[in-house]
Amino acid sequence: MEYIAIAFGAIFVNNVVLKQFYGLCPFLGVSTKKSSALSMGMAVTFVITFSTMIAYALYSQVLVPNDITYLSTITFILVIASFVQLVEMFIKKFSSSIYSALGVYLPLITTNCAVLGVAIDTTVNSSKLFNTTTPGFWQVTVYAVGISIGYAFVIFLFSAIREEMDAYPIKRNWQGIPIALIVAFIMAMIFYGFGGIV
Amino acid sequence: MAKKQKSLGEIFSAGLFKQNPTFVQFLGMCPTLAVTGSVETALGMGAGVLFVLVMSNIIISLIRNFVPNEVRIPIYIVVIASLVTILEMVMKAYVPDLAADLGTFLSLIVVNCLILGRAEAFASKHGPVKSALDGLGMSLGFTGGITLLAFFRELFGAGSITIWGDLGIQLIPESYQMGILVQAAGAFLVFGILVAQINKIKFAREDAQSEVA
Repeated sequence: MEYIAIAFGAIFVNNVVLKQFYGLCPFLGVSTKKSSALSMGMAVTFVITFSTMIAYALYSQVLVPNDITYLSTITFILVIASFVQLVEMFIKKFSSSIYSALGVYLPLITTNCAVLGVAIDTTVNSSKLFNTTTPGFWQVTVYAVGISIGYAFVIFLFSAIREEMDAYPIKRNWQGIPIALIVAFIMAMIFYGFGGIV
Repeated sequence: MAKKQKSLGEIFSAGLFKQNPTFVQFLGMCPTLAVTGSVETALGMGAGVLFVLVMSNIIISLIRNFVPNEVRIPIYIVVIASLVTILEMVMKAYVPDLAADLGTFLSLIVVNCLILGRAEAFASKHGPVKSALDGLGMSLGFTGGITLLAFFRELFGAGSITIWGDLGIQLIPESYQMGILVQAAGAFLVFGILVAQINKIKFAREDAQSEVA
């Protein structure tokens, strides 16, 4: 039950894009087509889940026992950058069809603040998320999976709306980013509705 | 020299208006929307970005000739991450309240695309003086952008502007405030409206110019 609550909270209530404002650059940048939004969502899900697990393990097994938590920002960004590189090489070698779908998005993920943001939130700032300062490994993993599903879900929804919007006449000064921001505003308002559930 | 050299003044002012990171280039969106609930946090974030961007531009332009091309991005990230760690420690020691308000976004300056973008596009190709000026102009443009956004959100959302101590002046009475604007969703709305208005001015100017020509 506890895990369901964490997952639901991560997907809907504390939605990574609409509530916490992580990962907005790709959210606005690659959400003009449904196919590219789906690929981005999948790539982000994969990277967030695994890099959060690695970052959590490093934080609790290496940084905390040695009392060097001030190095966490540098450690996490290096973990993420090298993990993304590794994933890219791995996919390139084993599946060219996945590589052609995800390839261009992988390097972008290093500077997606959702990845580093979730890694920091589940370790250094964990007291704000969970009721304890030392959340367990599975709590963190479920949270990371939930966050990334929430990201993929919202970016796909958003791209579907933007594709439809192309058919309508929009005033020149509202085209592109401004109208997309208004759509995001309405989506964020809708997601407030989930607030009372958990 | 095929390309005309830009003067120092042009480098500095590019970031303020023509290439404004917030309203023209849309770089560093996450902090732009997340910390603009109040003018105070926006200014704090601006100051942090100013420090990191100017220092990283200087350091990267100094080491640009020694860094092998293949590994330049990881090296830039390490430089930026070290600077952000210094900033985090200083802020937590001297302005703990502000550091707590900024929260995770203080650490997330590392992945602000503005900083890595300027390192890649400008500092890796120019000398330290020009890079410092570019960093200064860009970060002031960023600070100006997010402070403007925060000003409108706090003014219409909370009714008054609070900067380091409540002034006690309620500019907009309670019943006319739009509380949604200081919450997360309001950031999208206010930013969207601001960008649309700035685009309107920009397009009007471009049209006037093309009519003359």
